[in-house]
Amino acid sequence: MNALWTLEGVRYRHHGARRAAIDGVSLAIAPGRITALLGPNGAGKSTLLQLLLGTLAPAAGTITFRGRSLASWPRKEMARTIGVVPQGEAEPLFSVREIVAMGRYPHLGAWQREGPDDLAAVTRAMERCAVTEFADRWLSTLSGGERQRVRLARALAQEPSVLVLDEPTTSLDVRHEMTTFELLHELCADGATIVLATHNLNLAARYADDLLLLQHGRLVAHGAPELVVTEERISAAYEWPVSIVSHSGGAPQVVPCDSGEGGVPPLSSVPPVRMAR
Amino acid sequence: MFKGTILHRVVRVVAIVALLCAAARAANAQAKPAAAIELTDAAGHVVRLAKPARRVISLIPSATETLIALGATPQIVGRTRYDVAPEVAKLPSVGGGLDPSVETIVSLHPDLVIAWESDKRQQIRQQLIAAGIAVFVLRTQDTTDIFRGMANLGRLTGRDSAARAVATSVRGELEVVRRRVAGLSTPTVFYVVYSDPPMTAGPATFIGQLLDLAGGRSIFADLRQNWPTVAMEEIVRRDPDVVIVPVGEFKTNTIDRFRGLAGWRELRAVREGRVVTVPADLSSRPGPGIGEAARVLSAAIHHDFSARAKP
Amino acid sequence: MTTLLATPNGADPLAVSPSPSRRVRLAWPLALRLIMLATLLAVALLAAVRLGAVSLTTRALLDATVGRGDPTTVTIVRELRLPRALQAALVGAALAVSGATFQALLRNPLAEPYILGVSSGAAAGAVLAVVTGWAVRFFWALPIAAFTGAFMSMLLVFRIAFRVGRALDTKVLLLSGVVVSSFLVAVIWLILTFADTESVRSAIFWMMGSHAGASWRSVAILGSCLVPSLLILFALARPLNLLAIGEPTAAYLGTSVERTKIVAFATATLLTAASVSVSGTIGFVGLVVPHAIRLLWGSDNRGLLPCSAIAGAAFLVGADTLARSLAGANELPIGIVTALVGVPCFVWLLRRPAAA
Repeated sequence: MNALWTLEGVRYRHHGARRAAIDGVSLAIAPGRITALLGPNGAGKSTLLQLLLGTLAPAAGTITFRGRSLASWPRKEMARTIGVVPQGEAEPLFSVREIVAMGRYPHLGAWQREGPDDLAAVTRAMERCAVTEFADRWLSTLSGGERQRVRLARALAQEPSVLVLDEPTTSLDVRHEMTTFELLHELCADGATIVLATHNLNLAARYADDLLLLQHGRLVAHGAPELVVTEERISAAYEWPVSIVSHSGGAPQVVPCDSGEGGVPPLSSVPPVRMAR
Repeated sequence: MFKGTILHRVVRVVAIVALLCAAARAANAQAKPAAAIELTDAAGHVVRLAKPARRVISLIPSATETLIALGATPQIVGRTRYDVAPEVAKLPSVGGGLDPSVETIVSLHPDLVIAWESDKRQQIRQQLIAAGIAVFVLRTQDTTDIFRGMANLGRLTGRDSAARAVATSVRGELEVVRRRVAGLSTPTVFYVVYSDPPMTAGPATFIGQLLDLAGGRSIFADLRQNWPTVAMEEIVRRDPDVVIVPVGEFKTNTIDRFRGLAGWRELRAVREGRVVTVPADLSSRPGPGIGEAARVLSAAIHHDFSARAKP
Repeated sequence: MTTLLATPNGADPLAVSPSPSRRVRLAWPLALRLIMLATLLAVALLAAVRLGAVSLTTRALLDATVGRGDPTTVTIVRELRLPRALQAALVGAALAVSGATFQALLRNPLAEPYILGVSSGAAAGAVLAVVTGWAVRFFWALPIAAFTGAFMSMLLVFRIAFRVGRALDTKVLLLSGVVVSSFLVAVIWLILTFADTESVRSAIFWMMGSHAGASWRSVAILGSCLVPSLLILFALARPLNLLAIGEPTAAYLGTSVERTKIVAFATATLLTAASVSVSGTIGFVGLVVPHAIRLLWGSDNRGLLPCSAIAGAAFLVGADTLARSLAGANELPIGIVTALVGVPCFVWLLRRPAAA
């Protein structure tokens, strides 16, 4: 299968940290699917995303994107292919439209003005994320969730074939969380590849095609939701007893237990599961 | 025949051209007479004036005083805000001496500007030279500078004889003072240029030289700087007999003031009331008033303190 | 990534103040804004040449500009007022654009052109030139020393920042700027303690800032430094927008972050160093003019940078004219005028009532 991203034995340690943030991870991410990155806080999800996006360089191992070494990809070309929705940013006085229009920067030269195609892409992106009504407002006058949608619109305005999101629904209410996941599902159906890091185990299990489970910088499980989301595995990885129930659509759903019920098996006792390459 | 005519014509043309050139050169030589006044100023620049300056602006108050003393008041066309002499009070002000308004100076059409040697930025001089105005830099550090300045200002304004007369008169006054104190004792003196931090006049300044001439011995005659800031402890250690304080128009009760200041009240001179005030204008202007200044200083140094009612 | 004055939800504190309306107001096209500001600049330049210690009628002024009339008036207009007005305009533009650039690069609304120790470095160089007497012997020694000092202090700041982290971390950069600045100020006062009184006076005059030394030569040199620098920064407007939001985001949207930062820092420092070396340290312009433009038309650097340039030029020309003509022949230091005039204007701008 033609993998989009391939990682081999990747290690990364933050400057001044004692422990490696990513320790010997090898995986492949398939195109045209939704891949969700799961794991407890500090597992290395954000670090892994940054390694995938090339903003961090691995201390050991190789990363290839679309068959070429990641380091050899020019920034601008990557920006035209991959749209990123980061977790948080500074917010100077920009209007919503100006923020979304920044998604077109990778397609423009230094002195080039936006053309009609660019303006159309911006409008489409805003409509898809339902932020058109805010177009002329300062970004900082919006609520946290609305700002997150604006950032998603910016990523869509790039018209990328790959979308990478770092915890996109953390500050969203139920309605907006669901609309975001449904939007991601639509985009994937249109041919985009989605990679997202999330804490929402249940929606990840419902909407993602592949799940990657990290703990302490190591990949402990990689496969379909039914295989990855099991009681032992989730309890061991998150160090909290959980039980699994089944969703009407067939995806396993996690229900955390009270601290008294159930035990937490050590992770080493749980057999790893890997995708076939 | 034809060749001869051409040759003759060429020779004639060449001769005429040669004659014209010679005449031009001669005329040129005549048209550039030696400058009537040529002096080297304190910064080493040669200043040339075709005739004595008719419109002078002095940025140095002591130089303004000198010009007034030379009788050149009608030739002064502007003053700084620090020039308080009544003779020039009605003239337009050009601002400060170190930061004048060049525009105002230029608008007064001067043909000579007297500038400070201690202007370390040289910006004023550059702009005035660029505007075609002669600038003469004057040094006013010691008495030699003062006399040289008098002579130079006299030459620049065409009042050489007045300059010589004033110089002779001032030298006379200084000689009178020197003779008068010749037989007297030489008390040690501390001259307070500034009290916080204490600053005094070094031996190479005109004040230092006047103190020496007036029969006093500055306790800091060994220092090489011109206006040294000295430590209070050092003043106490050197224990001056007399403390001389120049004061402006606000005649505060100096002795009481010093008695209240920490450090100063430790001085024997302050405790015993041997503190004398002198007018600041007189003793801090390096100009024609130094004769009078020497007199005032000698009176201060040899003041009969025993005659005081209270210490 | 958060601003120094981060409010809990990470928003720019200037934006959550009560006055900027919820809609982007005055959504004028860029051309219209530039024309309006350019008109303001033209008026300021006209006033600058017309007003001064010596009053001129407009007729005399026009004659003098073309060289007719009283030679003294011609000298005053052509050799004194025109170069001075142009120098004030160039310095104002340079400081405003440099301030806007630093605010974007450091993601901090308190950033201004002198924040990375540039003014202290320039002052140290200038004080050295004055105290050692080089400035007397060789007229250009002072501006060259100031410029060298400015650049060397910037290099020192960057060296320190590189040592601490591997990349140019903006928080470390800000701290090392403050540290280097304090160190250099101490050095300056040390030199002045042992200097003679005249040097101290001359040095302090320089540090207060003034355009009184303007000449056509200084205008030409300044202009040849400024124009390419301004063009470079205008070309970097989009990357600066992205950097103002965050460095990772800028990288995701295609900016070569480290390269852009180095070019932008160096160019903004060049602008500041050139300005400081001809006119001393004039504060307030670089901090407030970009914010004023931002409050009107937002942070998009494609409009912010050129508008700040023209507005900064007009502001400084106006302040210089006031400094020259308020007190007759006595000139007020221009730094005082920029603060006394600029602060009330800025406060008014901040407190404008929100539109419906």
